[in-house]
Amino acid sequence: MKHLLKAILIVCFSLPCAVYAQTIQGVVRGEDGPIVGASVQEKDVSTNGVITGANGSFTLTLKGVTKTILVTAVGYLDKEITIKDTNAELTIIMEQNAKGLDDVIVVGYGTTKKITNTGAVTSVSAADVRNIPTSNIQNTLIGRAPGFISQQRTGQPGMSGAEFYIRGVNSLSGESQKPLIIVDDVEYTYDQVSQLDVNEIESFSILKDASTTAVYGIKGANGVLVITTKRGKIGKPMINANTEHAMQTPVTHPKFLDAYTVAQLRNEALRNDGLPEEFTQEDLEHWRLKDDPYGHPDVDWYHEVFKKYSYQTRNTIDISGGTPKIKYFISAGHLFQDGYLRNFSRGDYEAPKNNYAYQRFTFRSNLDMQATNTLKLRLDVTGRTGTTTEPHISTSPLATVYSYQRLPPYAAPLINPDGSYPWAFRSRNIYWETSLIGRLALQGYDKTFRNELNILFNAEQRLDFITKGLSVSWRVAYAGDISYDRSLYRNNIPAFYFNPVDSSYTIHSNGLYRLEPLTLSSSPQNTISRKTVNTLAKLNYARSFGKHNVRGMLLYNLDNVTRGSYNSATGVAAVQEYAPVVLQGTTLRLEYNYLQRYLLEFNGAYNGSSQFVGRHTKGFFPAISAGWNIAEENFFKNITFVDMLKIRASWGLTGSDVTAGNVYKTEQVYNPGPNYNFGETSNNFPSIQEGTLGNLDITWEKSRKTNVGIDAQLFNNKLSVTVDYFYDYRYDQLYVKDDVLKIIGVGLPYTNSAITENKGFDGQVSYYNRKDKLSYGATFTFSRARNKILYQGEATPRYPHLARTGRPIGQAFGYHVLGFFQTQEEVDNYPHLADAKPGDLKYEDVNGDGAIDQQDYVPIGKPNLPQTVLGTSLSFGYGNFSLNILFQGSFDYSYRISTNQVIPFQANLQKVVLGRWTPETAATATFPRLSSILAGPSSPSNSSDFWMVTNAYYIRFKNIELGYQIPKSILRKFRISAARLYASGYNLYTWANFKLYNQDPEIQSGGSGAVYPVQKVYNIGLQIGF
Amino acid sequence: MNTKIFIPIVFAVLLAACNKGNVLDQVQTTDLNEATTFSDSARTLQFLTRIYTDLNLSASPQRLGGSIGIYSIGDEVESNLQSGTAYNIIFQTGAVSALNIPTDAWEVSYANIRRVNVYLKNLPNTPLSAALKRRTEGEARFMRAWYYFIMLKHYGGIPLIGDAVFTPTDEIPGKRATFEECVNYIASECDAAAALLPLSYSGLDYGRITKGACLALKSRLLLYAASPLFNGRTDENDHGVLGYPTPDASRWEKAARAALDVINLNQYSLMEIDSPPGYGFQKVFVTRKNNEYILAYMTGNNRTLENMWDPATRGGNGSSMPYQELVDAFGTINGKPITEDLKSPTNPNGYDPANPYINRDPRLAYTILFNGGTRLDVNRTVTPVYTYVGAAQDGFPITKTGYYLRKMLDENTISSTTSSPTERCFPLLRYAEILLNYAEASNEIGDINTAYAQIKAIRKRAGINPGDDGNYGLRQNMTKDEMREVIQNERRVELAIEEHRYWDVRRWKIAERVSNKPLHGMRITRNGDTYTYETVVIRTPVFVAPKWYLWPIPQGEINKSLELEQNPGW
Repeated sequence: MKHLLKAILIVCFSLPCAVYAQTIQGVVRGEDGPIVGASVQEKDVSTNGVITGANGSFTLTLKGVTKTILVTAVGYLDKEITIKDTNAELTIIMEQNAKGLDDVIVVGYGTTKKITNTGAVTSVSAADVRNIPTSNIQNTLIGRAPGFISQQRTGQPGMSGAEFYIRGVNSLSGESQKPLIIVDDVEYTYDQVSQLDVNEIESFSILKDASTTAVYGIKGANGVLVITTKRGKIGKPMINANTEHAMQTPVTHPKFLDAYTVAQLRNEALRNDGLPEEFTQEDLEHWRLKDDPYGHPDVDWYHEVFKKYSYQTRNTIDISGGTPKIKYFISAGHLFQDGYLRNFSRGDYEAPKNNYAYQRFTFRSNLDMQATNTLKLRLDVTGRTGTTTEPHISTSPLATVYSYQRLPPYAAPLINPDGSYPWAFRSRNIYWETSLIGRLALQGYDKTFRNELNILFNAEQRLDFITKGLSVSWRVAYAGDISYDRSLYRNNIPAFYFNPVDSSYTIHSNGLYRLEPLTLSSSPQNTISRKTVNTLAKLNYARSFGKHNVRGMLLYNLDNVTRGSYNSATGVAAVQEYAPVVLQGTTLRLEYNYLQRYLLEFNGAYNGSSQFVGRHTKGFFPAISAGWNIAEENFFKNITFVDMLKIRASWGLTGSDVTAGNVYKTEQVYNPGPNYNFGETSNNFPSIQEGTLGNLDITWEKSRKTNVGIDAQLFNNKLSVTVDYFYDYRYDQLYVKDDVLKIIGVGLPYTNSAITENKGFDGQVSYYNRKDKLSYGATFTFSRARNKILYQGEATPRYPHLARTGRPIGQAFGYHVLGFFQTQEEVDNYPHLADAKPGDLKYEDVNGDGAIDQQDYVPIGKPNLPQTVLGTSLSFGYGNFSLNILFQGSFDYSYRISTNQVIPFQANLQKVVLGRWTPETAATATFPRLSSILAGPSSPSNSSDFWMVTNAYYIRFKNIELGYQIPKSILRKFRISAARLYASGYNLYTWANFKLYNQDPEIQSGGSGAVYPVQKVYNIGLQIGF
Repeated sequence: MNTKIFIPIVFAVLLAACNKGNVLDQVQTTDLNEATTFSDSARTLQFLTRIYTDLNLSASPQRLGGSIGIYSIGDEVESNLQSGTAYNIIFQTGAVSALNIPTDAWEVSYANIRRVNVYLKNLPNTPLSAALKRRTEGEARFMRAWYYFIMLKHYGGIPLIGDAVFTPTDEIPGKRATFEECVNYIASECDAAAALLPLSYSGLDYGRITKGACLALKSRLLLYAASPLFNGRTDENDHGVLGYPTPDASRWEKAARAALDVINLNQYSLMEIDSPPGYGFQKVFVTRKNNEYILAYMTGNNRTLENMWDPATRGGNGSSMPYQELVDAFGTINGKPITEDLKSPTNPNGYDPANPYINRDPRLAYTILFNGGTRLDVNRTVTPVYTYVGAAQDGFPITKTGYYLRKMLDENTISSTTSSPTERCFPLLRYAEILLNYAEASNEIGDINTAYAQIKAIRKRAGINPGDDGNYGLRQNMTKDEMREVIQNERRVELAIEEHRYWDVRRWKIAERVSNKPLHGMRITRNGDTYTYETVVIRTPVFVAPKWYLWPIPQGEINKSLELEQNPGW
């Protein structure tokens, strides 16, 4: 390091002196006028350059010999000019880069040009998604990037990042389904990427096939999301500030029936079960008239607990610019997302603010230095700190509101006449909880603090003196992530039942008359630390020999990940120290093309992972790809409407070394077991047990990927089309086979056994045109991926319909429903579950043994992850106005509703219940008969396709943005160079085929349902540049 | 110049990185493995301790998840867990199949059998003293027998694996041993372990396996083996896997002798406290060290059962609600069935249907919390619990049957921290059971007088009036069949909630009679100071004979082996 510094110093102080200086003057212009901020650089003295000023003018003193200058400007083709007459005023006309063929696409460890690319890559510019008002960047990509499949499971502030997959999933291990995420060549986790601020990002690339992912070798099998951050460009300092303010409101929320209806239905259910009614006519009359708010309360808990709108704001500021010697991009960001709870607090002395919330601060400093003519240095420092807040409450407020058992509409009044909190005297006995709003007001909070720091240093040295086009770079990057929990809480509050008959108050069984003091605790089990150190050295070569263009890259990579949970106490079972994972590899890339017409590329990685031992440590992952630019052929030159037509194909091998859990899977270790208590008095004795068996022979999962694609640009590049077909064969999957008798008595080891396949197609069609002030465009993207389990060492089930092999990953099983039993006779004549009556679900006796049990399960529906994703984005521009719209749809998946969401009297009753079966409505019923028995034969706990939307789909009006560029004439007075006002929306409308249950279509199938609802957002923003 | 300096640095770094050939070597993550465990005496004993922690596998009142156990799936209690995924519902409604039957009896048993075999394999090379090696071998071998017996009562004959420690590539035998082979193996292991073990322990070793535990397990084993379900299972062509193919009355003699062997150790006695009558029956369960427990599942001071079983006013979950059938099984204070000993002017201590909880067997009040029964409350006073219709927090229909469980609860402990936790441990083998085993086996071989003596001892401790004839309500000169009825009811009452009832009705082959009919609760209506009583049907469980006399082996296991045969009907 010391030597390096010395080297830099020497370079800085020994800049070549001008021997023969000449000064030139000129103006740089485009079609529309002078270009401000263009870079004019002397070609053979790269440190000598200037930036064009207000009128596009520049003055440069030439120092070199060749007297050639290089002019570059964003959006224009680079131009090289050799100065003949140094005295004449130069006028340099720049040509707009409309063709896009020279567009640079970011791929693994480098970039490529669109025209010479032979792999399956989708690139999304961050500018396209910058104004989408969501806190997590992965929520912005679905519908825009073909092959990107995601589901946003929750809308909770700080946790709303979607799960995402590239070309679906193709591994039986959940951990090994997640794509590799690379931010500036450093690996990130799902959690880390959720924390990034979109303002820092330059572009997203999604690498899908073997030729693009083989450079990541042992980690490339699940596809790669490559994110690059913004860097400074040569130009005067530009300050860019952005502020956004938004209102969030749930996409959908439950709509519960009122107390009068519920009480009637309750009586009906009890009658159906032959039990006495719970409520008298007098009770019902009170609820109908709503005349006894304390004895017969009727509360719409959802609306009492949750507010309609919550606030969200995002503010960023960045400064970027640079000279040929130093370029910089520095930014800071702030995000605050409020929660949807109403404010129940009664002053700070009782309890701190505890609404759901997420607050995040981010900063980034990206510096590029041209230390010498041939040496470039880069230093990136970035940090993020986030705080997630949740109310301290054992069951989430929404889950409580969902539960009839805890909180029926007549559970309790909101507040007692004397201002004390009631308890839920009409709920079920085990849930005589104290007032929900009282607990929300007084029980305090749980907070999670998350801090991240990333540092990246890179040095790149051109080695033209060895051979032209050769360069070497060396990089070290650190990514650290620490999070810990802190709670300020109390577990109980005083509560009283007010009896309006005698105006008496009865204390809750917790016996509390006054507030307990708040307790401060931090939970060490939840402290997580993660540290990644990445060292990388790279040799690059690029050169043209006439018609032959050659590029090459050789890279050495060492990745060291340490992860653990910290606990200050010793020996507690909750401590999870993860075995450190080291990854080492050498990657080679060779590219050759002839006149950009015939393209050939080889990628290969020789990787090793410390997850494995012996000869299973290291492996070779090659991929080859080829392309043919037909439009470059001479015979094609006459077909003028085709600008580019390329056919490409790739084939290769990639791997996945992910193993679940926190220990090496190669060795068997012993663990502490549960304690036992010997002795005449109580004495705890620790115990030791065998851990899961190890397997020294395990190695990485392998994926054989085939991809065939076509790229076309037509009609003067107005229309572009990309389509890819793929087939992935994933084998040697790390899987615990289920074919050894449990008589063995110990956990079985992982073996490389399971095989799955995944195939499908994806692509996009886009059109863009511009006429004078009007511009318009449309892009249609599509993705389809279907997988199948080919082998998983499954013991042969008794009936073939129970086999999982041959079905998709995540296939659900359950009864097939034939309809409702309509008569007692029908019940008697067909196999049924105990207690079945007319109005219950009639399950098919598939194996014909005269009994309904799990042997009758059949595959029902599809996996929960959508198999088809479509997106359509539209853009219009006129003068200073711009409009962008995105519709996104997901198809071909299934969603199973759970007991807690729908079973009457376990869940609170929603409108769907009104379609219940009764003898009168037998023909039109849409819901089983009501019963007070929660576990009756029709319950969703008997998995069946009745409670499943087997062919679910949704289409969302995902995003709209209307912008207005304030005219420069107005801005000049305020010394503002650019200002833009915009309004945007997110998830504005959803069409789905299961609105019946008032559930968001993206939530986890069979989950509790009571997850924080996904939010729609209305946003306004102002962007100002100085 | 500058580049010349820089390049060597870059290559030096590259080389340094490349030369670290061992960079991918795994680091040590723990010092705990087979070798380090068995080369250390403390760790060796900790390995043995792990096998103890599953001893309550079958008997745990929380075995089937939450607050349900074996007692919740028979005719003893209704649970307040009513979800379709709760095992009490799955069993009682007949939704149980080989696919969703709990797998713990199979998997946890074989896991512990493996632990015993790993222990025995390593034992000779451990640094334990010779005496300790001998003793712990006995403990380990007893526990292996214990886990085999758990499987035997669930499934019938199971594969016996001896001392084998399998690896995944071994051919694991799936062939089930015959019932007789299993009984002989478990019995011989009990004998062998008994020879290695002491009669009792003191200090920190209290609670370990004793010689008495070995003999008591053998008594239970041979009693089961002699019982109708297994003793001559001629209904199935199963090569003797499900029971002895031919009946043999002499098996009762072996069972009687095995029980007598425990009694003759003179190590155990019933805990008797006369005032109030039958108080010993309450106290024994909350006394950590007592002479009645032969083997207990040892736990630290706790409120486990109070949390689960106490009613809401006592801060408990009120999770288990005894059926009327269990309540009615308790006789009167005179030791007679409530149907025979009705209250009348001439019999003031008889049963009064208008006031059903007085003049009853004292064990009733120690087993069942009924309307007006007393419990400690959060204010540290003993007050009545009311279960009549609409009674605040505890009343019907919150208690589905009108009752809560009281058995084994400590009178000084409730869920709330206003009381201290109890030192209660859960009984696995208890002397009262041995007396009942002895009574039953003796009766079956015609030694009815011996049966009388055992039942009288049980009833004396229970606080039942001896009566003028000193017979504790037992009729004179009962026949074998009459006596069998008495013994069966006595087991039901004395051993309620201790896991026995579920298996007893099966081995007696009476489950199809008692487990197919409606089970009731008591709906009590309060009218001023008086109550009216009305029985209501709570549920009608499903029992299909003979299929459900044995559990199915988990289907997942059957699928893996052609040798492993499923039980009939599943």
